[in-house]
Amino acid sequence: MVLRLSFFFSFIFCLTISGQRLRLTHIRVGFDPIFTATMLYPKLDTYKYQIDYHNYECFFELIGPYRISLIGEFGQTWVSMNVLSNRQIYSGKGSYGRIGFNFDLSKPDKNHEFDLGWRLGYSNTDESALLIFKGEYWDNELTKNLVDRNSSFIWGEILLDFKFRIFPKKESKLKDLWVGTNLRVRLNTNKNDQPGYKTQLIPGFGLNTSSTISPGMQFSLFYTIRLNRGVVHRAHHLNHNYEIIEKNHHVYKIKHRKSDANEVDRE
Amino acid sequence: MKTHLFLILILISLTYTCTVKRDNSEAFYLEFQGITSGSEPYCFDQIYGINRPNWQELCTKRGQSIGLPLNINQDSSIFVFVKGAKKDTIKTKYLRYIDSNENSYQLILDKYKIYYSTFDSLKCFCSPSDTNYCSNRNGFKAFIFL
Repeated sequence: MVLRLSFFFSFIFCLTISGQRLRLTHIRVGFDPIFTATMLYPKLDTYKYQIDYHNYECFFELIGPYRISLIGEFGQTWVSMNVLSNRQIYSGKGSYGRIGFNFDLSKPDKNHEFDLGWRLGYSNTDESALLIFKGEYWDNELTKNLVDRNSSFIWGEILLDFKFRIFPKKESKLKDLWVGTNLRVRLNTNKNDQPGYKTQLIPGFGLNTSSTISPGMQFSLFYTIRLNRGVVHRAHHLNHNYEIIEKNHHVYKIKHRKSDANEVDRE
Repeated sequence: MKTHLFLILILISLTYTCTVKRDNSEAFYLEFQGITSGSEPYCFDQIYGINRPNWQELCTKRGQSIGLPLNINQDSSIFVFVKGAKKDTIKTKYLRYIDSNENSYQLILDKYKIYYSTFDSLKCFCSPSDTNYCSNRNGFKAFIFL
């Protein structure tokens, strides 16, 4: 866990250095507070409880002077759950990643953002399932191993992402802390091709149901690292034909500007 | 700001999932029923499986049976009935298998048979009737004439 976190932060540091050379304006680094909070739960007794779920997820977003930003999301899941009226104990441990991009749909605003996003997800999980029948009086149980294997999945996602600055006052020390939530539609491509035992929970995707479309919702808490100040954000939206300049916490809007972004940046 | 916090609270509450406690014990019984001449119940001092504690139900009469749980980890169960100085034994045998379909797995006990009994008169009642075995998914009935 510590090793993975240190790897993640090293990765973000490298992104920050290279991002400045790539003329990126911001890098967002964050995590899903709801999923990650499950890591704090004590391990439950799977005989008494239906599901014991632990997950953490973190992400980064590379933002340039345009409306499209690149996203990478990574996480790991542990699950142990009772299915079929506690007769079956399913255990899975897997990691997942999603890459994609967001398109900013909203008017340029310093404190809000509304995005449409696409993701391509991949996960790999080690899973096992044990069938258990318990005999109370005789104090014994009959067990049968149903599956013990490694499985991989790939899927696509479309999402609507809304995020806002938690402390919008410019004198606040936490002004770069943002919170967001998104609604996702996950489109699974290969889960129904699985032979034999059906995977119960796909890391990063969710419960494996018979439907090929799976809705979902996620939260995010993230910090924005500013790389290049005073650059131009070009508005490519049809209804907002202007550019926005963000400099020293002030937003300047220039309508129908034809000059190139780099020209303004050199001023 | 307050609107934002309210929105967060609403969304968090939407993602809250309940944990459900369920019983996971299996129940296959030898329904043991005493057929007495009168209406008074016939009570044993002790009824127990081999190496197991005393069963809580000890009395039986016509129409009132004692449900003795079968051992699902073996192909047989032995029960001991104690009344005063007299001790009787029943050994049942059965076939165990796991039935499955696309959505469920079920343990099945079938082809029950009283393999051995020291009772003077004991008879199995089965449905469907079979001279060698009883076929019933939840267990079977044995009647003793007291």
